[in-house]
Amino acid sequence: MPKGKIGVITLLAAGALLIFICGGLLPQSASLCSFAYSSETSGNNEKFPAFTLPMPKSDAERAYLGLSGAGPFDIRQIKAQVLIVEAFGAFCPHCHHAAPYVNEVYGTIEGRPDLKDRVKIIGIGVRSTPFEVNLFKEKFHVPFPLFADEDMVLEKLLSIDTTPTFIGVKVDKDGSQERFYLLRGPFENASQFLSEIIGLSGIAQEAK
Amino acid sequence: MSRIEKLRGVLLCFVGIAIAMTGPVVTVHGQAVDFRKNIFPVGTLKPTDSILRVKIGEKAPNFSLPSVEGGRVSLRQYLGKKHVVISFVPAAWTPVCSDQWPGYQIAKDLFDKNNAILIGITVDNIPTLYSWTRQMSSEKLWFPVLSDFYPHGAVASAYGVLRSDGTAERALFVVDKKGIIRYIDVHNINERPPLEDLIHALEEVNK
Repeated sequence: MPKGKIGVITLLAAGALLIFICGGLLPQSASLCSFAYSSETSGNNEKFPAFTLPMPKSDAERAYLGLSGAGPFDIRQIKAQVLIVEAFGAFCPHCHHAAPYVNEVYGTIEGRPDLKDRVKIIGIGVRSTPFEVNLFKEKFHVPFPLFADEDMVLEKLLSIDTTPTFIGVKVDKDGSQERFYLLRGPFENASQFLSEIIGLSGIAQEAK
Repeated sequence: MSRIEKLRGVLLCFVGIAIAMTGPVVTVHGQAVDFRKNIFPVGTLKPTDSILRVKIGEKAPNFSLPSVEGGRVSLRQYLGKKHVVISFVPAAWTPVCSDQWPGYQIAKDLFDKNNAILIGITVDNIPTLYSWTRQMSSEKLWFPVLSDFYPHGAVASAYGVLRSDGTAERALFVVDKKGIIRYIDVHNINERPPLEDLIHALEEVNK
């Protein structure tokens, strides 16, 4: 066989090997995209409504939110400059898919001294009972506080029309809360999501 | 090897890599539709629209239906082995149904703890159920999904949960290991039954 042909065959074989390798690897990452779809973001700032939530039973969760005492608390009592509110459905498959990425956001925030204590996350389980929310929390090892919205009160108040929905809330020094970010649908890039939250909130430029 | 042949080989390699990298992605993005957009908006329906033909304490009508995973599944095969939760849902690609079984998908431990198996049934055909259930979870559903499509709704009818429009009720039946019906919830079709009600019923049966 002429040398030239051997060379071409060798290169083709190398190409085929790469196809095999890439073809074997990609479907795994591709499976992560199985629920991917376009999400909407909005930078339109709006006043974020005040509402109350039941006090978390866990000491760690109360400490995370900077709360003390018992009984319902006002969302404005949460000690944070930015609050990320995830509206999720405990039974919603897209929320199941999003859960690890949201946990990753939480982990990144807690691991960064410039964000920890300034940015907090809570989840509101719309149309979900406390039992179902607890199942979701256990199943997906959710480290931040979750609350049930069984009677759809918060779903209506916050105009949630799909799950998951992520709302970025900026807490001003006078205690007023403003929605600066809205994402309808899941995300799969935790660092990009957090960058958007930090960038749009403006807290990176603010003194701690 | 001439320079042209070398160049051709390198180009072929790049083409191969490109095919390998874009092929699956294209396929995936082909599937990566917003499934919510595929959910048919049914609006608010009459809460229930059928008359039960079975009662608590009675023997559950046996059935044998084709499964999405192939083969047939019968109620009888679990006799003496597992309590069975039969979950009828109205139809594939409808709002509440599309959240109900994904919830059961994450509740397997609760079923296992109560020595129970779940069987999902709709009146849809197998191809429809196949595509619908595949988007419910990144993992295969742990419970069998059966098609009561032909003769249409025969099993739903035997239990008295076939609605006048040919869909099934959103109904749950707990059948114990002896084949006796121990719990019935023909739920408002517009709402998802709370999981805890079913789990508490299972706990009672499993005592």
